[in-house]
Amino acid sequence: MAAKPKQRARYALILLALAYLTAVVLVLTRPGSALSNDKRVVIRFTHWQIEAGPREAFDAMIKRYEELNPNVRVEQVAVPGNVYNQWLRTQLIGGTASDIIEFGRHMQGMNDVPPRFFAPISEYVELPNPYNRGTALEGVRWRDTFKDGLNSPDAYIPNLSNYYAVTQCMLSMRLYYNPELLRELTGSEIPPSTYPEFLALNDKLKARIAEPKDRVALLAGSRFNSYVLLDPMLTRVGLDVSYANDRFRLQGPAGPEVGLEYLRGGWNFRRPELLDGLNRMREVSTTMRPGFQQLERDAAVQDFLRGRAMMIVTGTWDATSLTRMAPFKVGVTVVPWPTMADGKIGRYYWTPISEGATTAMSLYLNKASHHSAEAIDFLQFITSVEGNTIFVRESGWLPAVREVPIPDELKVHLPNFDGYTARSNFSHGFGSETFNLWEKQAYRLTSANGSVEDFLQAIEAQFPTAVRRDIETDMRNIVLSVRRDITPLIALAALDERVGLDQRERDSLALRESNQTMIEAKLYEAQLVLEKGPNVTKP
Amino acid sequence: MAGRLSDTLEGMPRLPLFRLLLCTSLFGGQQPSKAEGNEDTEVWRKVAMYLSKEAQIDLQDLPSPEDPAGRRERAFCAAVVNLDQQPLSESRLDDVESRLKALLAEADNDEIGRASRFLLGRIAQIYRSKPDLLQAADYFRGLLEQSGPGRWADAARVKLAVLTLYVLPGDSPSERIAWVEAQLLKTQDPITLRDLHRVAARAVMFYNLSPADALKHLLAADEFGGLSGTPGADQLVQIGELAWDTGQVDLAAKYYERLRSEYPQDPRIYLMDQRRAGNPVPHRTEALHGR
Repeated sequence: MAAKPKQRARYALILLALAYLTAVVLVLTRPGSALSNDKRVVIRFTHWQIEAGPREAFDAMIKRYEELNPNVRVEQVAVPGNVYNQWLRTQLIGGTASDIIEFGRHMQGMNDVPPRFFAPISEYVELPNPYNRGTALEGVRWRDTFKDGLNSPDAYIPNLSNYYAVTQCMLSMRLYYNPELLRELTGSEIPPSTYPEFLALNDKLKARIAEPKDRVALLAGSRFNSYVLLDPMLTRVGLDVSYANDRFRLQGPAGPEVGLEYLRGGWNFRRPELLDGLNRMREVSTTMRPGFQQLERDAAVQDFLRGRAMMIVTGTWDATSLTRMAPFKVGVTVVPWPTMADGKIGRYYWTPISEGATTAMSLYLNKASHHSAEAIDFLQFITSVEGNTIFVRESGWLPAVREVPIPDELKVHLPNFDGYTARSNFSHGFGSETFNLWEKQAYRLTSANGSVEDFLQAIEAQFPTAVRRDIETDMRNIVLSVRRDITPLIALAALDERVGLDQRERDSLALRESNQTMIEAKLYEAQLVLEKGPNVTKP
Repeated sequence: MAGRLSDTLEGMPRLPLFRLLLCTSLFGGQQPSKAEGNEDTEVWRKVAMYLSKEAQIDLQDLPSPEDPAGRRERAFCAAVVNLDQQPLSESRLDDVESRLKALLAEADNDEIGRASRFLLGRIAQIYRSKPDLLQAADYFRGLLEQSGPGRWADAARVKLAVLTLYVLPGDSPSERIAWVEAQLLKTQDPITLRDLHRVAARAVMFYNLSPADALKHLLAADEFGGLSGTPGADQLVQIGELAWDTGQVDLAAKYYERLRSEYPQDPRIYLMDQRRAGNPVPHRTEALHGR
């Protein structure tokens, strides 16, 4: 008997050794590794798009790319969004991150990542994309082949004065609905087209299904879905506040500048427009099932697919999943936001609001990539007319690139371009401190026994400190980014003297120096506002 | 930056001109060998491409230049490369600073001396964990006081303008802006002039002074051109909005039409279209000189 545990331990050790050996062999023989027969260059590409569509689309693009470039092998690594931030930071710090990385400024607490880990691609985007030869975009500089000219804060990072990413798709927010449930309730499959109609539908639904246990919610809710629905309620109603504080004549401050205007006394949450917006937020939150803020995004999608919610407000990123997985034909329409035409309830809502032409799914080049030339080449392919056409066909998402045909069934998702620009986000637009504060206190606004006043008292006590911290963080990031660019700019000046830059390079150098100067001006303005608040003009 | 000697001698091949400069006034009359020059160029290229680690490795492998000019440039390059390494500790900064000061002590008004002075200013301003902005301003001022070709002096002029506008002890916002406006008369470099106009306009708006003054500066900046992407679109919107605030509707319309044609993907044109159609629109407060 005594020998048996010993024997078991021996087997366990052998098993462990075998497992370790297998792992070693797998690692050493995988393509691109030391013992691999596959001598192709391997580039890896990480993203969080685990919805239906994009992964298949990336597979198809990779297949075509490898046909065109037999010396390169591309691996896609799809990482779920709920662990993406932590996973990415670990990989970046460990030096094992992919060559190409999806990233976005909405990722909280990650503002330091672009200046530390990503390589600027400004010099590449100024040149034509070679994969567009023979198309209408032949000879057009890469950035102008995108529908938004890469003029988005993710692609062109103002604080870093450089282009950092190219994009893959266009997004919009839509109301997806279950026509069968709608017909059951109203006798018609026509969704509400105005905000009052939307509220009336909610009342009707509640009256019809009186028992809470049987209740179908009007909207599927989760922390994420409430974010994409409730935030715009405040941003849209805040257009007057935004324009009123438009100090720099850009049609409203954006990002940390909204916080600076707050510290200068330009606005507060008691502004009638914002108070009204908070009331609308509370109103809309009653259309979701209680406790929705504790739920993850998948739970909301499941509620909708199982018929526990009649509608869901989400982005086009969920469209393919919903369409493919729902046991009913999913209806799609624009979100019936409040408008001034709705009378008192919408009196502060200027409309239309432009949904912009901004492209998304921003792909960055890892500064530590050993194959940056191949990585750039792959990015050029997937954002060419051919590559992006494959993406649209396989994913059911909208294209980021001009001249890519849009199938009829996707046209309902096309963003409405004409309208006012809502640049100021008054809830989640400043940084992680205010974001967390808002998240912690949101239940006071949205829960049945909460109230706008209850929420405001909690927010107002902590918001000034939180917004200051966010601005300080932003200032630190500005310093980091300016530092990062000083030596390259000096090197370019040295090269200009040594061998002479061509006119394009010289223009680019001048523009980067100029943008750096403007960023430094912003840095010292923020410093002054933190020091003096509303009294910045006093010596 | 303009103001390079090479720009003033049109028609001469660039590389020979630089060799000439290396041989004469800048680097003490001796020319680095061709091989050395190419290798150093590659190091600079790597720094320009953010490949600082690779640049450091390359630099370590390079043979020391035989001539004083080459050695001096190499020393400057080594200081820049070292500045780019991680971790960025205060002792590393001390080391870079002492190298640059040594170069400055050797010769303070050649290209390397001027670049060293500029970089010393940037270290004090941006790299130190506790920035010494007064010292940075002193370095920049030192460059303005020197005679000679102007790349680094022009760069310093713009940096000093920003510090003067917001940081350095001084007078009222109007007087700070007046100092920057005075600098406009002291340089001919178009990029420097453009940037001085841009920072002056921004400060006018930050301090909530007359929109007409900000407009004047941005119109002057626009004359020089050269902006593209987001900064280019933003400047057109700013001029349009400032023109609107000062009652110059035609001027506002002109710049918004430029936004429409040059940045058709920018939705901000909608506001101006609504104004022109006579529809009510959201607007700036009177406190911000809106109308």
